[in-house]
Amino acid sequence: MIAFISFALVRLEWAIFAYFLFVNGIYLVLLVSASLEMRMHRLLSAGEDRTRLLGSAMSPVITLLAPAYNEEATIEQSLRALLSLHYPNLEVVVVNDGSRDSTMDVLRQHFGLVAVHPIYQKLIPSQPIHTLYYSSTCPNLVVADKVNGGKADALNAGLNIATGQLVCAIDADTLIEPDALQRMVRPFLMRDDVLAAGGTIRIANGSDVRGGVVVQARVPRRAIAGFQVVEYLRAFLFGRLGWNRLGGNLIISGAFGLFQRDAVMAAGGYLHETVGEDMELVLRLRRRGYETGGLHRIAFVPDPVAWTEAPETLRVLGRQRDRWHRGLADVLWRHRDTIFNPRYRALGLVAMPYFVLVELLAPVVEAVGFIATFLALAMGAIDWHFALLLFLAAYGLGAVLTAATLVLEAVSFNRYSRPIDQLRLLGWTLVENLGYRQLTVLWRLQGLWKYLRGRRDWGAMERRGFQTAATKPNSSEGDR
Amino acid sequence: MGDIPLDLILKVTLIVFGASFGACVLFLLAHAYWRAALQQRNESILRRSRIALSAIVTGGDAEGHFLRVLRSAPGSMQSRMLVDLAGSLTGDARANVARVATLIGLDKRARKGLASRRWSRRLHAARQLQELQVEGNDFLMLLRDPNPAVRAQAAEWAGQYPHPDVAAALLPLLDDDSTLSRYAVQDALLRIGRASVEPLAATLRERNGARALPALRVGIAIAQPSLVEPAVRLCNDPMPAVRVLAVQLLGAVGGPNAADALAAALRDDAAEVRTAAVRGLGRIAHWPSAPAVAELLRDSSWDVRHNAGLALRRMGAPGRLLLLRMREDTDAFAADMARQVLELPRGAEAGL
Repeated sequence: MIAFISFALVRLEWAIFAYFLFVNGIYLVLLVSASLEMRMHRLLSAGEDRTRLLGSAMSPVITLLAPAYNEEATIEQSLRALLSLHYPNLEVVVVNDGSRDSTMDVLRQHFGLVAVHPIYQKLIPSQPIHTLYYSSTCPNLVVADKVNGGKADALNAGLNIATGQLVCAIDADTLIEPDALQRMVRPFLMRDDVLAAGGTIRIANGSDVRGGVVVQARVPRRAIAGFQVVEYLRAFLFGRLGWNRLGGNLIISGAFGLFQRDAVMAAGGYLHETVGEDMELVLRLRRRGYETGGLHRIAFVPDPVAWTEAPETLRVLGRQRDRWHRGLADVLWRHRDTIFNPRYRALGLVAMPYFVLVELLAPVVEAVGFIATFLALAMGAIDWHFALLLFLAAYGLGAVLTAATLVLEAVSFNRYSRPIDQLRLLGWTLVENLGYRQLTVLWRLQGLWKYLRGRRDWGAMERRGFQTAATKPNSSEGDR
Repeated sequence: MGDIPLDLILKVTLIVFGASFGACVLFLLAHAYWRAALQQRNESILRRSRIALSAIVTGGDAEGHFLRVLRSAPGSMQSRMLVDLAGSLTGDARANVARVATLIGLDKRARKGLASRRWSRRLHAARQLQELQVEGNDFLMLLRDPNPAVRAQAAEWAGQYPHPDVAAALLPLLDDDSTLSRYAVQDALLRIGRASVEPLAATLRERNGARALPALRVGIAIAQPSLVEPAVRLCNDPMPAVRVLAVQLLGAVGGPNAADALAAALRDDAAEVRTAAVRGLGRIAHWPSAPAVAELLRDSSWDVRHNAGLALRRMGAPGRLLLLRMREDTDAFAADMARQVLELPRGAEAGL
């Protein structure tokens, strides 16, 4: 019996070893693809005068959708930052999602709001809007005050009101760089078939933030935020950029994404019943594009940057990762019929299988790998050489690829320009494999388990604030 | 583990990973220190070059000393300084910057770049020359470049020259395969402004269907009376999207001929054309059409009803009177829309 278990463990170990080689092989392909994309991007944008062409009166109207729930402390500053974005044809729609604090009072007081009877066509179902406000001081601002229904519902209400050809969904606590929209609109001007575009999200923790603008990017000293900086760089700079060329982009961050409004309206807007509504929308739009012969290209643009605040406690981070993985599982399950379906081309044949095999199942394989290695070592089925080899395949190659991503960042944007920041990034790259990554495996497994048990809630999110250390309870109602 | 030489594989793997990671670390650190050193070194050169540039531009370099200083700066720095400076100047001062570019040979180098086989060099050179506003019409040649990004840049560059001939050279590019080129051409025609009106009108006279769409978009933004006649013709195009833009163009220009065509478009089969027509009539506040517009408060399309209500508000007293009457209309949708539009605050229809 023991001999059989040993034999099975050895075979399992080899399978896991092969899995890690396969995953890292894909990452390598993505890294090469991302490097080529980045080169093309740099060639096209070097010396570009965005104020002229991208600031033209011919540029498409963009509606910024900003859902707000209990944002009395930050809404004025956030909204002023949005209204001062450098884009010629900009409309800002703030949707107050039934806040229980004085968010509406702050808006009325600072933006000269005038209530009107809401005249709009409810093409997408959402909770009712009590009142629509126009601003007497900012002609491009519209505020909708509605019954609480959660973030997806607020975005749907905003979509009904929006008049722009493109809509940009943002999180109220995201800092968008002033010229980010000019950069983000580029793919829509370059191709006719672009359905949506996403920009880069970076971590603002530890950076120098003044007046709602990150003036000097720095790598945080705190480990949890530092690990996330490395994770985000990896996810955006080689993950999403790499998928651009391969047609596999499925995620546009809910914190900063630009969509063709007509396509979103035709698809029925955001889905309420999922915690992964961003990914679900992109996937639904893409598959609809393939089914109807319409637009289906998702573009990732590396230089428009939105800064967000990363969780700094394990408890909050764990909840976030748990929720992300539940969302991923839910979305992949909802669209399981696209997997290996040639009708959906790159989406069905490449992207969906990748997301299932690599993104969804990775924590399961990793956890099984841990346990099996421990058992096999204890039983003497494998020696330490093999265990170390497995570790290197799982983490070593990952660390090398992450370091290569840091090189890509340095030669392209170099946002972390100080040598000390480069050293910190390298440090977090090495250390993340010793404990942090295993924790994320646990959180993701937890998310998967909860999904299988039917949990669909968001859980609470706490933030420290960009400049102050005071904790701001963000939300507890709806599905924010 | 059978006969697999694990020990050897492990050693090789460790060496490969270690070497790769080490190379990345070395590169990152070297890159960071190189940039810091370069910045430090360039600071003094940049300071001296700025002083020199300022002296030359303001005519204070009789002995040519400052020109020598500027020539000794690295090419990329010369280019960046001049482009930055040119961007914030106009008129004679900007012409002076172009003169300096010629004196230090920057324009010659850029022109050489225009002939490069690499599209990225041609693009970069076109951007430089455009920023410096160096004399010449090199952009005309680039409008036929095989690379769409270069063609778009050439179109953008051409937009700086408000001349009918330039507009005429740009107009064929409205059919370009590249979305970016088409966009850049539309923008350039808009910047050229009045000088592009006659060539644009001529183009609109000879185009139908989808080929007329980009020219109509430019026409709407320019909105000149000579575009009315071709727009009236395009109001009968079989393609609804063309009729919508033609009607929008008429609404943007106004005048008696445009108003008649807009009133006729109120009876169009396509709801989006009727919407554009009521918006246009509202925009030019054509009150004689108010009864016909009020009729459209009963339209089956929400967009038409909504815009008809807003248009009536813009028509002043006659429109308002009709809206008040429509509040009691037997058609519940029409009455509701009239009531809602009347409740809007003053100025809410301004965006029409």
